[in-house]
Amino acid sequence: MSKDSVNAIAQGDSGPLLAEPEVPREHYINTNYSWQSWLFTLDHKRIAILYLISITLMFFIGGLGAMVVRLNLLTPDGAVVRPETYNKMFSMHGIVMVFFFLVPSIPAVFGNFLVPMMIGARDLAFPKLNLMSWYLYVIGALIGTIALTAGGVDTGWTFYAPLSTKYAFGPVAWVIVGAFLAGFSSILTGLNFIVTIHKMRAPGLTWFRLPLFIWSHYATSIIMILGTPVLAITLLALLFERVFQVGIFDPKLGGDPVLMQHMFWFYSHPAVYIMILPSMAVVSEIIACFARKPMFGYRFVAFSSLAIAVLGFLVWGHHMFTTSQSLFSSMVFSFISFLVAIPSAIKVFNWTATLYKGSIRLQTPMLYALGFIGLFTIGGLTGLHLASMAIDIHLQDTYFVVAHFHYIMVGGALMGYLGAVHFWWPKMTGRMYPEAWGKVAAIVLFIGFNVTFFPQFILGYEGMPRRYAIYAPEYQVLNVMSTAGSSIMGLGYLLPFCYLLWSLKFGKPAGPNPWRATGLEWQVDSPPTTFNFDRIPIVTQGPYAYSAEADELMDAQADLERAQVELALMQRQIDSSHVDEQEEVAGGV
Amino acid sequence: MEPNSYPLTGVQASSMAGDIDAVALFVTLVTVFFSVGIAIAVIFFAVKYRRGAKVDRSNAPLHSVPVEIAWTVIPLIIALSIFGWAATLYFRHTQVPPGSMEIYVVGKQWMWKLQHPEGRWEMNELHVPVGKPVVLTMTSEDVIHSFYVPAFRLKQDVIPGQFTQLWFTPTKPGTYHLFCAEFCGAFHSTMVGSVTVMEPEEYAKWLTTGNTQQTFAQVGAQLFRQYGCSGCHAGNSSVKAPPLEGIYGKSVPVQIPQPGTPLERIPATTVVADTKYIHDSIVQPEKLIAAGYRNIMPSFRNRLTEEQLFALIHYIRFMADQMPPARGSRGDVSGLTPEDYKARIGFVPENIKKITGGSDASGGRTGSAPSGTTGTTGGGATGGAAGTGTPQQ
Amino acid sequence: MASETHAAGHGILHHHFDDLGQQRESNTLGMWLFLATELMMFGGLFLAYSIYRWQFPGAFHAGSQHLNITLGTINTFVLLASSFTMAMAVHSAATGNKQKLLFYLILTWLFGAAFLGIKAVEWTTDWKEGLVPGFHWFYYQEPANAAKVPELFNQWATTPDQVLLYFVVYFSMTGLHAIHMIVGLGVVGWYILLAARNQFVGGNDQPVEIVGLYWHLIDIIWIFLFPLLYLVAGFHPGGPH
Repeated sequence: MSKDSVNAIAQGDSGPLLAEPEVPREHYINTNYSWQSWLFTLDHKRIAILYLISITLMFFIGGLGAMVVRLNLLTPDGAVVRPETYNKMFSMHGIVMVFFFLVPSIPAVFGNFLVPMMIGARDLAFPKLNLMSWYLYVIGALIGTIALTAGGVDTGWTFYAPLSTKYAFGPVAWVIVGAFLAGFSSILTGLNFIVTIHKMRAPGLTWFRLPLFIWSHYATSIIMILGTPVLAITLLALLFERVFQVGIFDPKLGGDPVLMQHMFWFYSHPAVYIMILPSMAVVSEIIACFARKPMFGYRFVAFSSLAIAVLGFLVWGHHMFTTSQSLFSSMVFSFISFLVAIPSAIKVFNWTATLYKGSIRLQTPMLYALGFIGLFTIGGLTGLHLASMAIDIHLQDTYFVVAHFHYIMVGGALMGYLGAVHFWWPKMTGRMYPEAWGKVAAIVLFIGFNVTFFPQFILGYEGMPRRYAIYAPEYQVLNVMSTAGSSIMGLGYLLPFCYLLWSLKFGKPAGPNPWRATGLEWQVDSPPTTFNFDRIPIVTQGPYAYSAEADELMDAQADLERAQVELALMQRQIDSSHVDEQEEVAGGV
Repeated sequence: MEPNSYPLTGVQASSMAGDIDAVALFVTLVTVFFSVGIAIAVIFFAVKYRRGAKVDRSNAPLHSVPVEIAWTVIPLIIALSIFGWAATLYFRHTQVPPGSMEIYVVGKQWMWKLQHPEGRWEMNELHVPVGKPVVLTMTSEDVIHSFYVPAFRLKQDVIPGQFTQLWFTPTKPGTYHLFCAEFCGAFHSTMVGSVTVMEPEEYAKWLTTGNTQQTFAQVGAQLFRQYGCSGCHAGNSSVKAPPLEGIYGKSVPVQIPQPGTPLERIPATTVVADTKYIHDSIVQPEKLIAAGYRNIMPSFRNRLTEEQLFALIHYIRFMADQMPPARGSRGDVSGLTPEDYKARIGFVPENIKKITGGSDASGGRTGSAPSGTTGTTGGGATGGAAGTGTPQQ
Repeated sequence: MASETHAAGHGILHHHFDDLGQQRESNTLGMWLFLATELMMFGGLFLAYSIYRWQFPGAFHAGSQHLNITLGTINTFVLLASSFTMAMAVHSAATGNKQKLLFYLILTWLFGAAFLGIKAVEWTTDWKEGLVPGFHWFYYQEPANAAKVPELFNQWATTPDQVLLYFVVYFSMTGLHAIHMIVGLGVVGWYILLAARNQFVGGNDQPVEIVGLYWHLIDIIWIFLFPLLYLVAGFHPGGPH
């Protein structure tokens, strides 16, 4: 550090070294505040924000359902609602959380926001289709949610026939319509991503220079476009049968209710990979950044995403081991289910290995990413119990299954989502969230989550079936524990909601790259301008050009400089107080 | 209710329970090993390599193919061993031991109706003797339910329009939970009951008391008359209908109708006349025609409840048990000559030699015999106690 | 080069694309992906068809006899012709020939409308005969047809209930197909208006090519539907019997 700059600082001119970042003057948010410019926007970033707002609303609605469910389970006889209402509540919770929160979540918010920027493009391939995706989602979510809250259905999110077609109460048809529309939103988003990633990469950005976020979203998009249409036709068939009371699943006509399960799970199993792959994408980005290291085994992680997508289409029958499916098909489904666990394991090992010899910073996004690794591992491994045919006979339709998928969807996907929110919050809003509160919320969520869902593994093995409003008394202790945990977990959700909102006005301006991350999105302002890049970048190196060693050196250097500046300032104060004393002495004479 | 014998898992009361718990324990240990292992590794690295820690970070590896292969192959081996172990157990679960005591179960919103062949029927309760294999033959009147006994570690979905089987051998006297384990509507959580396992003497005594004067077969006999079955199928009927004495469990010749082909030109084949065959013959008689007979039996679908169907099936089996096959009856296929066929029904099936010359009763299924249709519609793999020659567990 | 295309295709090139080539390729890939999703969606119904036909062959034989194979055959040729005219329209757009483009687009639209018209005739007949499940199903209850029930039994080894299941499959598949035809007609009609307003000249032929892809898919799906639904019992042209 030169004497000149020290002097400059001592004189109060902090200069570029300690320059406080500022929010740029014009960016994609403030360029136009009119509601038309938002509701008719073609900017992928604005669409991402629109999704963010709608998805957050859906999350809290689904969370309300969960709250009623857990409160009711405090006592064996049902503490707060009648069984019919309880059934509507868990159905609402599942339908809202699966179709209107988890499936869109990361792809619709962060995929939309980041995919173009990460590949050096100005927008997605089909901006109008992107906007249409959002409208389809909003209309579907509105129809579905209104039907679920004003009336409610008691079908579960799985809509098994003939219960849903002939026996269930309520506006089942409307809920199906809502899910159908949201499904098309998903299909169009996936289509957009695939074309964008194939055709609009910046010069020099070859496939193996892409961030793993892109690889995972590519794999997710493949599932979206191939799997969701099958859900669409299944929902249509259910809708037809529900409305006209005649259909292909009606056993009285010779139809087969198990056929409905095959068609439903053909989508819904790959759907769970739609929900987890983007989260894995986020975790890859965060781990690399906060360990200051390139991802260990990059190609293995990239191909694992594709392997999960492909294998994920071949395992749907593991939801149906107890339906008198043939022995042969059960064997095949079980076998492939074990295979599909392997690529996920490979990812977990590679993430862990990335930490080795890193320079690890435990800021909030990293806490969520590390939490993801732990909880997803547990959730994924308990999937082995369920993939084992003999064990599944006991555990199918019990709380073990509920615990398993919540570990993956909440402990995994949701933690990844929150990690993404915190990691890219500065990029999206130009503001930093309060870091201390971020850490508190992450830890509260982690603790609350485990207290809520770990007891459910035990409940399930002890035989408590799922979807029970009223249960046998010996299950009460664990249920009370689970409910207690859920209140802590709820706090873990409320906290970020509050401080993130707070940060929009009062958060520290973030600057283009507060995390010193690599990735093209960090080379532009925070928030970015509408067209992202003034000039399309030319890429000459791979992703994750981090170096833990170099960073440690840099940190040490920065510490040294900071110490020098403080020293200089202290010196200045001492000097000026000397001058004052002298003046006093002089004046007092 | 039995106190839990084992913490966290509950009592083991069936012959499969211990084995299922064993493989589940193994998988749990694998889970714990890897979860704890990863957690320790993460925490260890996060602490040792935290920012500012003075440790050697030089030459950090970026990839290592041998390491990748190792942590692909080792988990794969572990995974596949779990698969193999669990699949073997599951296979045992699908093989109903011959001679199992058969109990009929009908699930409907929101209760279980269980019928013992000796006559007692129960609602939401099942009494069984300890130590003997029991097979439940089940169906649903309305939506999909699932018969679940956690203490046995077993469940089986119960599907309308099909029937499914679940077998178990209780090993420990006591009373255990019975739950419905497939969401079935408003009162799914109260579609519960109990399974009581008793000593054999107590069970025998219990069978003779209680709420019935007739055996189940007598109920079936009444229905047989009431619905006009005896009008065609009794021995002295003028309508040519296949006699039913002695056919249960035997191979019977049938023709599978082909659209557009006259029956005379369709070769006959044989199927085992098991529960599903008899059930389908009553509700879907056009599916398989008794060889040499015309396709004129009316269908009784939607005219009989599943419980009534079980009663009829049981009656037909009862006749088989009580009466030896008479010469010329369906039980003794080899005795029929082409002239017999011609005299009875006016034509001789094309492959008469094949069906009269060599089919034996114990488990032979020749030709394509779709007594179970697709894998998704039948308990075919588990149906039929007789003639499947399965090993004891 | 970039400025050339920019100047010439100023209205064509969307600003988020680098150049026209990238835009063309993206649009084509996008449409092919969309066609894949349509295949998956129809695939669910083809799956249901396969399973039920395997399980109830008699019902499919008997049920298909109720359909008018003559009209179905005509419709197949109508759609094939419409695919031809659509391909000619794409070619006309590519060669910048506005008159031919309009001509072929209009022909395509007329063929498509004819298809739907003939389908409407078929469905109206089915309605009148009481062969529409859930709405107007009384064919086998009519005294005139009650005698056919034993025949169903003996010759086809099926029952009216199973034939109803066949018709549910029939109406689901042809109904979904018809919805796609209606959408196609809407788009083609709109493109006729745009073409008349010179929208597809000056190198902006790609939208026509894209719609052409969609149209061909709808045609191909019908090529599968026709034999699977109509020709189960063989090709016996004539009215229903």
